[in-house]
Amino acid sequence: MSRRGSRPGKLVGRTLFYVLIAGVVLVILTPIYFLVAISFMSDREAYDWPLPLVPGFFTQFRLELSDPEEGLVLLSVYSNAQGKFVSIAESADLEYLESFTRRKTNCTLDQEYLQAQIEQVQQKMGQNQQLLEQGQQSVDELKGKMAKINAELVKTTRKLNLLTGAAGMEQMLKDTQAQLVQLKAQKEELDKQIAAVENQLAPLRSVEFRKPKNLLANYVTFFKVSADALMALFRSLQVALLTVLISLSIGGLAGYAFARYGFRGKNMLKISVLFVRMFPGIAIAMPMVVILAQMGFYDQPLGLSLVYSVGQIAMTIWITASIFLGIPVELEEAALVFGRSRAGAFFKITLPLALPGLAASAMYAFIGSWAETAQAIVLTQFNPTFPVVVYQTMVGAKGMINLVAAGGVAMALPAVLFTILIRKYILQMWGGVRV
Amino acid sequence: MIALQLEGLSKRYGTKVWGAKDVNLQVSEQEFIVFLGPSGCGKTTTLRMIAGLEEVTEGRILIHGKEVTDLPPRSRDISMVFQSYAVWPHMTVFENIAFPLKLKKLTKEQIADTVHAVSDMTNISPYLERYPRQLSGGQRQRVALARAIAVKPKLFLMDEPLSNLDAKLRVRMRTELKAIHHRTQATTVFVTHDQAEAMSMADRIVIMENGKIIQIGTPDQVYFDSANVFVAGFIGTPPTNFIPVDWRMENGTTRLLHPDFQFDAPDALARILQQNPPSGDGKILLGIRPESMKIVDNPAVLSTSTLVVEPQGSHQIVAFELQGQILKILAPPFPKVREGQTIHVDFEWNRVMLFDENSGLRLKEKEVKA
Repeated sequence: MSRRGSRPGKLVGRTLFYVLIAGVVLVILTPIYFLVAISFMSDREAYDWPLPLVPGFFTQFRLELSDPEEGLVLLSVYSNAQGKFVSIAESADLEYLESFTRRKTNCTLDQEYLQAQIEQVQQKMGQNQQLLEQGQQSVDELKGKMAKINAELVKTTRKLNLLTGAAGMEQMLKDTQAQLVQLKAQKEELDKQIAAVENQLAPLRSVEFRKPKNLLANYVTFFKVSADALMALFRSLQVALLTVLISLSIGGLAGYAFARYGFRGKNMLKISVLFVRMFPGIAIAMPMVVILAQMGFYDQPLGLSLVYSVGQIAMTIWITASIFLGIPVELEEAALVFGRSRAGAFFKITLPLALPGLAASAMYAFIGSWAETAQAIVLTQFNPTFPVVVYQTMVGAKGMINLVAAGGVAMALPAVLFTILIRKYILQMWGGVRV
Repeated sequence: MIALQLEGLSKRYGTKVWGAKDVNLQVSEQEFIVFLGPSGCGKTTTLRMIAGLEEVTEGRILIHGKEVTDLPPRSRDISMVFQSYAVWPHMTVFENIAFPLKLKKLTKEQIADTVHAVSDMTNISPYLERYPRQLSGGQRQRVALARAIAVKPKLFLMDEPLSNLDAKLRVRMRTELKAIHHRTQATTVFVTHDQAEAMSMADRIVIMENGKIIQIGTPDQVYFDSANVFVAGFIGTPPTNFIPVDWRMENGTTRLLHPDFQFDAPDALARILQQNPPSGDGKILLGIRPESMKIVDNPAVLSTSTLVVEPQGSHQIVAFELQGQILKILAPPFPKVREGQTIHVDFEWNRVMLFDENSGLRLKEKEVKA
């Protein structure tokens, strides 16, 4: 009986659990997805509203001759979000059109191709001259009607405004309101007619074509626009790896000492290493400029990694100390008894067992210093790190979010790679050291 | 030949706490020595000092006549089995056993031969390629043992190696350990808090309390000839019964006085009391092993009614109360004793031990020099 009674409760509980998990995953993944999606979008897509969920692989163009005499070319692009063509450029200068579309849509329309399209339109227009003229005539007529209705609309609206306050004019008010509704309907009808005729005319005086989008254009542009980006990437890598090296070697040894030896003021020291992390990095960065400049490390990767290491060492000490604590002393003592020196026991027994934890702590240090921006802005000048370059792209005169997104994804990539490389050890750490 | 010699070995923690104090011991070759005592008595500290895992505050350690007091563990030619086994989790069983051998400049074949020999001896040959986490507690214990045997040490140290095993396995491993000791003939120092373990395995038992050695002797010696109240109370299940009594010399006989009974002490006891009268107010303790008290048909030393009877199958434990103190008798299984029944109790006087109540020391007949 009791089992039967508990079953629906279990089901609800489990469902709620999965909903919660799905929610958490969604919260984590949604921003990442949008960042990646935007990094593949063209400028036009990225600023379209509502934002497309998936970046397009092709772009649908429409080319018209807005003024055949002047040779003005009107380029439109189909917007999925708005469900219609949106004009993006009007010019007689084909070179300008080419470079503009490349920037705006990440598609390449070379001048010869454009010329061919223009000729095609001219040919079409020549063939359908009569139809076009008739169509234009009816459009003009409709537009004339439209102008009248618009004038009428303005008048009626004014009348209505006058009547609303007045007394004894109820009948007239009603009539006017009815008239207004009628006029609006007429206007809509006319709009539709004009659109219909223009739609009919459109294929006669324009060409539509599809062009593949260069998906990686944003990345290429990012590294081209910020000329230093590639070097900055290397510098960031250098800083991060140096930080890992410094903080793991010093912090790891300190962590081992904390875990294995008893000494006076141990707990005080444990707490005090955390104090370093309580001061905002940016506040430390200012005096650091002076110190680093004196040491000759200002604006250099080594200098940056030294500053980062200060904070990371504290973290590393705490992580590694708990890892070493998790490895029984007896394992080391057994190694001592069975013929190893202290160093031998550490390298042959403790280190292999601590590796997962050390890898995780290396990951913290790597990510922490890899993505750090605030201190890097202060501590570098001509040799910025990658996050600084991304930041500069964002706050520049023309902050294009798709370029920033591309930079962001490029920045995330090494951290993701590093994590994937040491994933085996991190997963091991999840279960603690198994002895 | 003396395999191990401890001379005034002491360990001080901080400035005041003594982990071990003035430990003196000589262990001859092939001997199986057991350090026995309650937790915190200094037995493990002493063992760790012998192993070199603990710094020595005072005193000397000699292994086979060579002083090793300040040598690192690896230079002492010892091997050790730890309470938590300390089997390296990232190595297979084979690698665990072979690891200490690799430093001994042996060829690969020699190493493999040794590993197979010791794993046969400890019955772990089928598991050589497994990792410790795939083994049960008993199997890990055997791996630790095999590893320790493989190095053929001068001295074999064991730190409560059986205490993490379940009761049944512990008894079996006890027998196996002893068999292995017979085979390897390695001098062994074994630490335990389990007196049954100590009694069943030891050639000699070293009983420690508060960092000091109280008594060194064979199992029979510490059992039947305990050095003081602590040893008598610690060894044996159930422990020795202690009855505080007064005594008086009357007309040439020595009379033992207790509120519930009075008795003329046998000659042997009387002699002891005459030779070394106890200190202070002269009260003494009669130490009587449960099996040395007999339930008899006619009134003897004392008569009382039973409190509880614990049937054990092979015997029964009869408890009774004397002046607010519970005493236990180990009686044969038949005839059955009922709770609340009136019983007559007699003592086996030649097995009774006398203790000074103040100092807790044993009162013994002085040896007559021939």
